[in-house]
Order: sequence, then C-alpha cells, then structure tokens
Amino acid sequence: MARFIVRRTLYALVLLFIASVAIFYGMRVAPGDVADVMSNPLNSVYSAQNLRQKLGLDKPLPVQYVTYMGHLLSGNPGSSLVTGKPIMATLTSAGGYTLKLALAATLLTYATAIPLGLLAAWKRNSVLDQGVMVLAVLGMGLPNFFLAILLIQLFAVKLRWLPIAGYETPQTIILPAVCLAAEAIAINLRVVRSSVLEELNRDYVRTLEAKGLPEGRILWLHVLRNASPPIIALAGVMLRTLLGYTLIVETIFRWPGLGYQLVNAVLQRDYPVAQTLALLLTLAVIVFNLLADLGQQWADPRVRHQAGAA
Amino acid sequence: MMAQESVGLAVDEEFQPALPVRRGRTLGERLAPLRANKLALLGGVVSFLFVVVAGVGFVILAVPSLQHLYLDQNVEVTLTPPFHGGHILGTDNLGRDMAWRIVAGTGISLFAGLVVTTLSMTVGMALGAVAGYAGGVTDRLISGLIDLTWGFPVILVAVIFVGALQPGLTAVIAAISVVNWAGFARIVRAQVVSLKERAFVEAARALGIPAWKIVLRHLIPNMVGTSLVMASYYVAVTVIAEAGLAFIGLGAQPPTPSLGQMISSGRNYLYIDPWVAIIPGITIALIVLGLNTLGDGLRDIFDPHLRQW
Amino acid sequence: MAQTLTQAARNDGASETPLLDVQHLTTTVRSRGQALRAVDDVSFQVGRREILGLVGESGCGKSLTALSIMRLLPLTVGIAAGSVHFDGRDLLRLRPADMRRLRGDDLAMVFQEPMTALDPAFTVGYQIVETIRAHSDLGHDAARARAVAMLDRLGIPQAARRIDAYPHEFSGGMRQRVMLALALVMQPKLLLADEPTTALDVTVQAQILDLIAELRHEMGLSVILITHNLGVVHEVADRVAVMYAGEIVETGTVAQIFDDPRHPYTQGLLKSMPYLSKRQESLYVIPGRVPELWAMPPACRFAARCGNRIKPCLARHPDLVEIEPTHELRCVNPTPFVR
Repeated sequence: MARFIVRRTLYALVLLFIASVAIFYGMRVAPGDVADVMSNPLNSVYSAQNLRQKLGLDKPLPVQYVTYMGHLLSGNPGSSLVTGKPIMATLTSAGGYTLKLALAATLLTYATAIPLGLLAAWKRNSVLDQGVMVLAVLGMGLPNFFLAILLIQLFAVKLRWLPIAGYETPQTIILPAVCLAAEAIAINLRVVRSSVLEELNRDYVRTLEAKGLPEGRILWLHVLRNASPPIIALAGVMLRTLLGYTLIVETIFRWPGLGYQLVNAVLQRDYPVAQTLALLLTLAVIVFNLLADLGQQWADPRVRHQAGAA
Repeated sequence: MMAQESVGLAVDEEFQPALPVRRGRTLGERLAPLRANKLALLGGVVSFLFVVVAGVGFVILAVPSLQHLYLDQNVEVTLTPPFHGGHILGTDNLGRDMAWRIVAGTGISLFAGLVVTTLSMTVGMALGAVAGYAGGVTDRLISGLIDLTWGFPVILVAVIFVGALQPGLTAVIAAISVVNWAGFARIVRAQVVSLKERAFVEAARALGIPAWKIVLRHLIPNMVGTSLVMASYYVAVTVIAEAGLAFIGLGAQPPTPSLGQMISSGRNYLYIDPWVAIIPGITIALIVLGLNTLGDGLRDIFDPHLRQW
Repeated sequence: MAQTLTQAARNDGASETPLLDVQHLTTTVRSRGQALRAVDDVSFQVGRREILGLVGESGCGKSLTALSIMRLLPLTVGIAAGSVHFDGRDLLRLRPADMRRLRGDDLAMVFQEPMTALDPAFTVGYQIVETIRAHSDLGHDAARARAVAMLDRLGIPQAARRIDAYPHEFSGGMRQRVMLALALVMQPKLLLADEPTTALDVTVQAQILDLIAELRHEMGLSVILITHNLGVVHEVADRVAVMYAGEIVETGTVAQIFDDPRHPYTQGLLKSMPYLSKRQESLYVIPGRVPELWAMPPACRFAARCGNRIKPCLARHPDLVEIEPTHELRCVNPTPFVR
C-alpha cells in the first residue's frame, strides 16, 4: 500500500511539472500582451517601462519560468497587473470562498444522491424510482448556467426567497451550490442506483437476511459499503469537472472565489494572476485525482491486498 | 488445432477482412436496429431535426446576404415575447428576431460540436489504437498523456487557452479538442488491447501483414459502433462547453450569435422579458437531451459494455 | 448408524411434538403471466435432534421449500397456502419483525456457494459478532470471545487470529465452516442447509458432514439437509423426504428409503448411484425429463417416465399415503425394489 502511494504521488508531481510548464508557456506566448495590458482602461498601476521589467519579458523564456516558479514556491507570486494587489492575499480570500462553495456542493451532492439512489434501487420500479430517474435525466441535460438562470428567475425574482447574487449572508450560497451540484447529483444518482442494484442481487445479501439483521443495517452498512467503489471512482472525475464548473457558476453569481478571479483575470489580461490561479487549480485537479485513486484502493479490501503486493 | 483453423482462415485474409464488415445492406436494413430501439429513435429524430436547423443556421451565417436575418436591429420592437408581431420567438433587447438568432446559434453550436468531435475522434482513435496495439513504452507514454488530459475540466483549459489566444470560437474549439481526444483514446485503446488477442489478428500477423494495415483494415472497422456512441455523447458535451464559455464571455464574440452568449445577455432582462434568456437555454437543453438519448440508444444497440452508469 | 441414533433420540424421552411441522405448503412463482406452483402442497415434519434429508434433482423445489420456511423469497415468488409450525408458532402468520428476530437466532440457514455468500467488505469476526449482538445483549468483547470459540469448534485453525481475516482469505471448505459458525453461533433449534457441500471437494465434504452430525448432538440441533446427493443423505441423515416436480413423493427413515424404496422415482435415483463394489457397464439413467412448471400433468407427475405405469396413474393425482409407520408414499402402483 505504501509503495502504491509513493508511486502515485511521484506520478502526480511529474504531471504537475508538465502542467506548469504548459500553462506558463501558454500565457507567455500570447501575442501583443503588453500592448493589450497597456490599453486596458482598468490598468492604473504600471507604465510601459516598469511593466516590461516587471514581467521580465526581456529575459529568455526558460529563465522567466524558473524565476516565476522560484517566486511561487517561496510564497510570493507577485501582484496583480491591474489592481496592484498582492496575489497571495487574493488567493487566500478567494480560495476560502471557493472552498466553501465546493464543500457545500459536495455535501449537497452526496447527501442527496446516496439516499435517493439507494432508495430508488431498493424500491425498484416504484414511483420513487421513476421520479429519481427523471431527476437524473434533467440534471444531466440542463446546462448548469441555464439552470442558474431558471433558479434565479424562480427563487430570486418571482418568489424573492433567495438573493440574486452576493456573498454576505448564508442564503447566498444556496443557489450557487445547487447549480454546481446539479449535474453531479444526476450522475451520482444513476451510479448509486445501478451499483446498489447490482449488489442487491448478490448472494451475501440473502445470508445477511438469514442472519436476521434489520433491513436498514443491511442496506446502509453492508450494501452501500460494497457498492461504493464505482461511486468513489466517480468522485474523482466529478470533483475535477466540478472545479471547471466553479468558473462558470461563480461568475454567474458573482461569488468571489478562485474561478471568478481567474475568469476576470483572463478577460482583463492580468497575466500574473491568471497564471497563478490556473496553476493552482490544475494542482487541485491533480490532487483530487490522487485522492480518488487512493480512496478507491481503500474501499475494496481485495484490491488493497493486491496493491500491497504490487 | 487452433493453428490449423487459423491457417484455414488466413488464406483469404489478404483479400477480404476477417470479420464481416457489413457491406451491401440497404439503408433500411442498416437502420433496422435503430428503428427497433425506441430510445435511439427518439434521440435520433430530435438530433436530426437540430442538425437540419443547424444546417440552415450555417447557411445564413456564411452567406453575407442572409446575415441580416439575425443581425437586423429594430429599436421599436425590442423585447417582445413570442408570437407577437410576426416574430415567432419574439425579439431580443436590440429588436433582433429571436427565431433566426436561435437558428444561427444552433448552427454555431453544432458546428463547434462537429469540428471538435471530428478532430478529437481522429486524433484520439489514432493515438489510442497505436497505444493499444504497440504496447510497451509507446503505450505507457501515450497512456500517461491520456491520464493527464482525460478528466481535465474543459472550462479550465479553455480559460487558459483564451488567456493565450484571443477569445473566440477558434480558441474554444481548440481548447475543447485538446481535452476531448483523451476520452476517445482511452476507450479505443481498451478495445484494441482486447481485440489484439483475438485469433484473426494472430493469423494476420502470421501472414506478415504490416501492423498499420491490421489496425486500419481489421481493428478500426470493429470499433465503428463504439465510436458512434461516443461521438454523440461528445458532441453534446462540446455543445454545453461552448455555450458555457460563451456565457462567461470567452466564446464566439458578437455579432456572431452563440446560444450561451444569448443567455448571458438575456440575463439582464429577466424582469422584463425572461424569454430572451430562456429560449436559447431550452434549445441547448433539447439538443443535449436529444444527443444523449441517441447515444444511450446507440450504446444499447452496439455495445452494452460501455454502460458505465 | 443413523438409524440407531434416531432410535436413541426417540428413546431418551424427547418431546413427541415435532419441532417443525410443515403442512400443505404451496409456493408460487410468477412467470409468463401466471402463478406457477413450484412447491405444491408439501407436508413433512422434523423432530428434535433429527436430521432430515430433503432429496431431489435441480429444480424440484427443495431450495424454494427451505426459503419459504425462512420467508426469504425473492420478489417474484410468493407463498400461496399452508402453514409452517415451528416450536408451536406458525411462521407464515408472523409479523415480519418477529420473523426477523427468529432468523439467525432459533432458525438458521446456510447456502450453497460459500464463495459468494459472505460479505466481502467485512471481516469474518465482524460478521459473526454482528449476528450475536443483533440477537442478544452481549457486549462487544463477550460477543467476540463467543465468535472465536465458535470458529474454533468448527475447526478453523488459529481462530483467534483468523477472526480478523476477510472472507476471501479463506479456502472454500474453510469458508463453509465460517458460514456454519455464523449460522450456529446463536444455538439455533433448526438449521436449514441448502446443498452445503455441493461446491466443495469430496474430502472436505466428508469433514463438513461429520461436523454437522457432531453438532447435532452437542447443541441439540435439528437439520434439514437439502441435497441431490444420496450418498450424503445416507451418511448423515435420520430420515429422508424425496421431492419430485414440486411434490413430496416418498418419506421414510434412511433404512426404509435405502433398503425398501417404493416410489419408482426413488428407486430410479438409487439405481443411478454408481457402486464401487459392483462392475457396471454403464450408469443407469431415468428415461425422460422433468415436466416444466407450466406444463405440469394433472395426474401423476412421474407417470410419463414410469415403468410401472397403469391406467389409474394417468387418471387421478395420487395422494401421499402412509404405507407403514414413518413411511409415506405417493404412488398407486408401487413395486418392490430390485437392485
């Protein structure tokens, strides 16, 4: 098991390195960047001379890369070209917001999908089951930004139960979290349902019933545990996709998280910010990958033993 | 015993494919399994309708004299709801006819979907087949690349791309292609790996048929079904991605209409005329649902093993 | 041997009322739009400390009978009629919660495939302790000690260590012992064993059967041993019930069934057994096939394959009749058995 962890971590680090180079070069290779920034009306801080110096554009690219990475790893990724604010400060505050949103969405996803999926499988072909499947289809078909519009229209404009945008009060997190989680809920519903259905057909369920265990315990402890590998495998993929969606959802609701900052930075050609954020998010994706792989190993003891031997 | 059989098969190998790649069936015969599966049929019909609409859209986008249909502004009839004053789907905030804009937008969406899927499919299948067939270091290299790219959030990549290039349809298409190819490659590779072990491949190899020929003439035709299934899913994914990117301003720039961008601008008028935002949204949803259903149906026909959920 | 034990059991003054009294049990399967009788008007008893062998070929309904007694039927199958009196109570009329309390406690069952019958995600110890704590007030440590003792009794080497192992770490025979431990840890009165040895090889088979026989005495256990293997029955059972096409066709003590079978089907089964002592040119096979559930003949179900067939056989459905003490038969034209 330990060897597996080490191998995977190394692999992740390599991926990260490759990604950082790709992002860096991607951003730098942009044509006419300085001129764009200069003509950006929001830029109040720099003039052409110290801009060039600031960006170190006169040095060869690999040197620029190393310099940048050096700054980054020592905790100082520089300042925004547009506002002059240090990026670290933006990172920490925005990071907090994104974390809150992601957590809320994840919680919502599993709190909804697991019980509903389980019950749908348990009461197969019942009204509940069919309702759940319809929900799943809807969740997958509606693009999340469209869902956002609909929800805003319904809850914020018509019913006035929830605020349209903003981030001060606790209610403001509800709509963004729902939009973010919608597709994840839909897909998880289907996976949970089909995985549980498969498990319910297995022999050990009958043995458990023969032991006289209560239904609830059989379902929620035994069946769910055995049905979890596909769900955990999915979690890895879902988290990554979720990360991508935060970019859109945060922008819609003006939720001041990392995604919102990144999109704005790109639109304003604010390179240091864009670069750092992109790198950070990429790191997050790779880490999620790693965690999901490890989680999958843990859930199935048989695989765990094999991985130990490997 | 097995060798005996292989040799018997192998004699004709050079002259016709080992597996019956179906030729010479009428269109009706080919569509028969599609007809039998109602789900696929429904999805196919809806998708086909949208393809037609997209075709029209593409025409009016390309032909200069027709562009006015979605460009004409009329300040007097802004924000009318559907079925008013000769505009079936109403008008937007600049008085442009919604119906034509939807048609044009659909054209853009499906155009993106088509280009991206063709690109990703070609690259993905090629790389996947090579990786699966060659094995060894080549396989590990390509697989590593696939792993890195596969689950990557498209939006993130697209945003990064737009950071490098100008916002616009080209950037969007490039970005989505960069991520999507890996999905194809993964599945193709898995299939090739399993097909590689089959007897007819051994026979072909024993005859000295070069590897590329084996891959091209024997392995690829067996993957047509799977590819179709994936293609329909990926076009749907692309449509959503393109719309999402357009929504936050990183996609096709005005005056080129994009369904996502329409939703975004319509958002400001939700109080007054919600239709301006809702109609493009419903359009996207229908396109996606149609394609997903088609994909589900095709999968049930061709390869139930693809059923992940 | 088994016969002597039965006599001994009878003679030690054990209660005369049978532990299990199945009367006219009928279980139907929903298929092709109809409700087909897979278990048809089945009646038999099991006494205390008695091993009943329920014998028949695949599909004759013996497993469904056991599942009906346990009320563990799948969704498409239902009990249509009859009563199952266990220790004085009719199981079929119990509330689900009360039935659940009995299962694993007084009434236990082991199944055929030890490979798949245990939950692969939990250790063996967890699963046994779970059963103990579901049916008693024992604390964790006490339950665990009891589980270890049970595994030890059932011949699992190094029980104290192995208790924390997962099911996939055990071999087939060991897994079946674990299953038995699970079933017997609460000292049930009745054990239903559905082909417990079929998936195991012969040497292990013998060990498991001996174990069951020993435990029968130690724990005062009754067993319904379901199998298609007559050799197994002869080894271990006291009495035998033979099923064919959903019905009981003959019951009796092991001596009666093996030395003096009267039903042509039973005779056929015995003739089909290969004999190590005698030279045989070819194995005897009962001609014909078992009728399908939806095409059950209204008269005698075995008539089509029977060498003793006479006119009444095709006219009326024969009843199960006691032809001598403890020997019942469903046949209107029995003939003595000639090997």
